[in-house]
Amino acid sequence: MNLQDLIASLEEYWRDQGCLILQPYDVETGAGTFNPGTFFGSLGPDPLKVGYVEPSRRPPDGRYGKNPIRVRLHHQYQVILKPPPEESQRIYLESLEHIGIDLSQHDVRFVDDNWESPSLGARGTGWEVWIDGLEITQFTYFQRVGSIDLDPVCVELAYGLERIATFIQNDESVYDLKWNDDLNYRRIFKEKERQFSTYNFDLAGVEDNQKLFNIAEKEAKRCLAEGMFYPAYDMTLKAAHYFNILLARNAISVTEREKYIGRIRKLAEGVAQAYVETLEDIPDEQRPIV
Amino acid sequence: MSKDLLFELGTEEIPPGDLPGIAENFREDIVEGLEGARLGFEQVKLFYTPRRLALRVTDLEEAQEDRVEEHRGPPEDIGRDEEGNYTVAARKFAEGHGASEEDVYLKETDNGSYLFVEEKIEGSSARELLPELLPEIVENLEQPEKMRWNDSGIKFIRPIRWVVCLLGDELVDLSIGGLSSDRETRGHRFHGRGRFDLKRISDYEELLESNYVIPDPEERKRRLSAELEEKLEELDVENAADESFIDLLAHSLEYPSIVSGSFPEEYLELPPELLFKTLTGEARLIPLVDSAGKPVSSFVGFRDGSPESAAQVQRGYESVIYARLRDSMFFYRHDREQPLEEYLEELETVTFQEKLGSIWDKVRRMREIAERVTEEVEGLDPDIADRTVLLSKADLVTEVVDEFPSLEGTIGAYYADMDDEPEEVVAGIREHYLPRKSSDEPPRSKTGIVTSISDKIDTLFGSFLIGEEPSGTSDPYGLRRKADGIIRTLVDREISLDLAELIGFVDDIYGFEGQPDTGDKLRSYFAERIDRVLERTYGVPYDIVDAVNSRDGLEPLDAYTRATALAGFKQRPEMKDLVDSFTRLVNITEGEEAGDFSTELFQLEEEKVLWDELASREDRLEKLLDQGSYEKMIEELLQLKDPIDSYFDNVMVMADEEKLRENRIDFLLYLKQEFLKLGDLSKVVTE
Repeated sequence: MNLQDLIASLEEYWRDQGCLILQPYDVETGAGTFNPGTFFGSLGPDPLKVGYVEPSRRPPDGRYGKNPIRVRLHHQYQVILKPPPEESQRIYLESLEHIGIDLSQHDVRFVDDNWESPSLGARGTGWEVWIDGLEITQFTYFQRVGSIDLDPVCVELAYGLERIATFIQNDESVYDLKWNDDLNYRRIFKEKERQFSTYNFDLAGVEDNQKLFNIAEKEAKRCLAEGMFYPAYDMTLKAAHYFNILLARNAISVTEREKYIGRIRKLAEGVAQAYVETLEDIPDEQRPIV
Repeated sequence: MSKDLLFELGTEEIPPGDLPGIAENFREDIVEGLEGARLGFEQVKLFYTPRRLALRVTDLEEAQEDRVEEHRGPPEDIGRDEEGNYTVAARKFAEGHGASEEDVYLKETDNGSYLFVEEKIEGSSARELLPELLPEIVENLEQPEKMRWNDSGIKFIRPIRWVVCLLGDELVDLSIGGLSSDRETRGHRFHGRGRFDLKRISDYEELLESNYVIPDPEERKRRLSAELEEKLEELDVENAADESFIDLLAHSLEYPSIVSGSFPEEYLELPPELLFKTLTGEARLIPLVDSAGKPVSSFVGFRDGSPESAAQVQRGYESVIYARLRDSMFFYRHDREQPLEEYLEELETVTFQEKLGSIWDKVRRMREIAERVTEEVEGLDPDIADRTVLLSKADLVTEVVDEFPSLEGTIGAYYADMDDEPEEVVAGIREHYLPRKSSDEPPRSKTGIVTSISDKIDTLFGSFLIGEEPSGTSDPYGLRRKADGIIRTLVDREISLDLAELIGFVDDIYGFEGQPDTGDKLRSYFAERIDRVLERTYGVPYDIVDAVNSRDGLEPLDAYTRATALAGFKQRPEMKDLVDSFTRLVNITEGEEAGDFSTELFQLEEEKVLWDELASREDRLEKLLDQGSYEKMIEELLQLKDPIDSYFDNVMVMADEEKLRENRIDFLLYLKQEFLKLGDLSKVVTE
């Protein structure tokens, strides 16, 4: 199964489970969790099921296109189920069957791993899902987002699409993956990996990225002061992205790192607080859901 | 009448490290709960897998026994009128306990005659009690962490998904976290029948096993070990994982089946610890070594479920471990692009503790402390010690330690060795985190000893300084282990070091304002820890511990040597006499201030004899004390026993004449000091 069919198959499965199928967010994110579909989607009181693909940028993971398994940008398939169905694990496992994995022929395990995103003030309890020793999904019962205890809680599934495709296609290198039957991952991403790695590790202007971070933070605060939490959230994501570039550029010491994360978390907390407060004043039918 | 009970709690995967502890709490709480409810039983059998906690109780009494409770009512003069008839008060009293006027009787008590009535309390049935008891136990079960997954309000380590509760094969209706109990249990996720009813409790194990679940943890471990042994023999290799890792595997699987495979030989170039960590930590595979202890390029692992399609699973594991090893090799090679020493400058960017500065600040303090400690370690070149301390933390900023934090020290030692650092420096870096846990040995190399002590005392002092001292059960920084580690290192490696003085030295180095009296607090903490370590690690009886801790100073080796000397003499008959004599000395001089005495004022022969006996030994006693030859000191002091006894038999210490009395007291105080160098003998409990 090629990668685009894999995505289509997951999309089909989760659509049939009643998910709202969203699109990748158009601001840089480090993981599907940062997409508003998850951040806002997990916070409100209303039941919600969401699914979407999220290109996830992690500048420090770049390897100039030379490492067969580590890349600066990978794709997640992200699902939120709120509240968690009693059969959450079974429903997830059936999605693997749906994409053609015969579970009885493999060693499938839920390996404990408590997930945390300090910059979003988020954490949850759950597992890495392993298939024959390969981690393919993060399965988490979210307990807290934007430093707010969730009620109801929700399940987050984050599938690593390149990992799963490598497993299905039995490839050694991510660049050998077939995106469709004619074109492979190399043709689409390898040069991008090289150029972005070069930028992130070697070229990125340290002072300019620090400035961009400060500007994004300032704009986020300005929006928050006016109660405009959606643009404030976009600015928070931008700040997080510049922070990641600075990390890759090795421009942030460990001490400073904690401070930067604290600043991003503060913005995320402000956004979450403003969102939750706004929801209280809006009638059920008109409440924004993500 | 009694019946068997089976209670099974089906869960999503419980972390294997926590599982045995949680299961044990589950068993204990239910046993206590049944006993508290006065329901007797024959025995219990605990089962657990990652997906279930279950307890089978054999011959549980079906009901509590009926009992009779006697209640005291009003006194006779209120309960009966003048004609001797029961009053309204009496009737109400009887009715209040489910009895009638006829049941009331009179009884004499210490306070006069009172009305009494007996109440019959019928025992509740187990069937009535269990639906209250079991959910409460589950809801309050102690666990390392808890989470929410639905709106029932329940919190548990992972979601609870089914509950089976059968009493004598009949369903007991109860509800836990929004779930109702049922007969339906579940087999393995992917093998066997999935879900099925449990008709008879006696079928539990067999039925689960035929559905690829081995519920008995002991049995699961036995099978896993047997399969492992067989495979090792076949491959002619040995297992390089420790027992706790094998336990972890057994606790993470419902039905272990073996997998084996291999990886390219070139990865044997990695330091063995890094290779093993990659195998165990990243894919939970068991590393293997040949008969000479050298790593080999094959591995064994355990998968969950039936052993079918083994070749496919093996391929999967091989490609995963190949990718992981490639990553480890990448980190390792990247680390080696510069010598270990060059990582030092990055230490400034790593926080040790927010208020205590960076790791580099810590290293700077450690170097000063180490210089002082090195003076007490015979035959250690101060430059070599300093080099060890300087490089000891450099690996904290390497990629390998970033990826595998538990390799700190180990990987630094490899890198130092490759940089041609002296052998002692390499050994010191490798050993300086020891002892990490109570079963570990302290460092052996002199460099390791010095670095370890400097590192630990710095952390202890700093933590006390910012008010992060351990309290009761809470010790988030593992400070107790660090203090015990220092004590054990000094004792086992026979190093005389006064911690009281060293703490003062560290205090000067820190030189910033933190909690008041940090030095004294840390000193009393060490005094406490020395007592505990003597008792628990070295098996010194508590009375000897009490006797030796009375002396000033905090010298673990000295305390240990005195304690072992005293413990050795404890069983000897003359020891008892000596203790008695000393106790007399203590009692008679209690509350007295020491002063000078004069031999001129000795009047009786016994006084002079005792003085001569003591005076003739003083030099030798002093020398023995300096050498720490406490056994010989005791031998010498034992010689004083007879003179002391005849002194007390014949000399009237509390003489009428004040001058005489004071002189005698002062002399005895002087004698007492001689004994106190050994310890407070009056604390020793003799037969």
